[in-house]
Amino acid sequence: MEIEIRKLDGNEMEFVLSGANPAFANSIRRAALRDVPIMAIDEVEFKVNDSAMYDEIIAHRLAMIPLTTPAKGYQLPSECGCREGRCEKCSVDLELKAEGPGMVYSESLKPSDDEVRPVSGSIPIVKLENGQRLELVAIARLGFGKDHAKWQPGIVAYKYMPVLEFDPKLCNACGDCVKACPKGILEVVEKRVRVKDLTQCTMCKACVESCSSEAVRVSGDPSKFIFRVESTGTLPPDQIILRAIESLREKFEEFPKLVKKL
Amino acid sequence: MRPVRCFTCGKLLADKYDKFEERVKRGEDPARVLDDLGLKRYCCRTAVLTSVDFSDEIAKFKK
Repeated sequence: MEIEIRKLDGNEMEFVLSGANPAFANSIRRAALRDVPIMAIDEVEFKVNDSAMYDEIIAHRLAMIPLTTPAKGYQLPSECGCREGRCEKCSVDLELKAEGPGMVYSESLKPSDDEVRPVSGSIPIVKLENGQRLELVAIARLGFGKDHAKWQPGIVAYKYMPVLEFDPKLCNACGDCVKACPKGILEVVEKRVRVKDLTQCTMCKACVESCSSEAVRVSGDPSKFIFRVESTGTLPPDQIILRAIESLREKFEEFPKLVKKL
Repeated sequence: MRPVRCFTCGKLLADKYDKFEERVKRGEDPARVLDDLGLKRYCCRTAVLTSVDFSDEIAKFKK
């Protein structure tokens, strides 16, 4: 098995995994979406809410704000000794005090731990009219994407590496396929058709349909996967994949022990 | 209030609505603005393009 990182840029990452099978690739994808613990607001204590929006609407918006997750240091609420999910080992308090007129933005959230803060300060939360006040304490905890979408670290998607074959005996370099390709990844070079960037191919087969000599064949390689990871900003994309694999490893280590007990 | 994230993919959209409205109001092509804001997928594009905020109308009524 081999991994080749083709792009690692801010919150986006693209890599090619070769020598694997679809079940393996899908396991990584699923684990990344549902089993990686990240921080998100999980409870809100309202002191004052004069706004036009109900408490629960504001609480929901706060929950959906992506927060940065520190590399380590926090326990899952289910594993924490405090049993109430309110101690400093398993939760972070974010205070908000605002008065109208004007829009309240995510930058107004003041965390008790600066490493857990909104990914962007310009997220509008609620608009306050003149004299209206909003005062609350939002409690952030670790959680999993499988429990709520707010705890999803980002998106992970993969596709097979496309395989484009041009039969040299049938191809007359007419260029019909080049014109038909919606991604523009084909070109005619020295009486043969060449692919400019294979990873851009969507396997739509427009080239196959446009060819009057049936010289084109499009298929996918089920052992080579082009992964795209896009983080919401809570964790770097490489960390998402690493932690996904870690969670898979834990499951595989526990399973044989359970089977042995049978 | 406009949705914080894209319903389909979960991408953060809330910090982009203001910029989108301002630029389109100034006359720019919405498609171009969506591209500049980094909204490649049509799920996100739809959410930003078609979400309507009527919280000002709601604000006129007591809770």
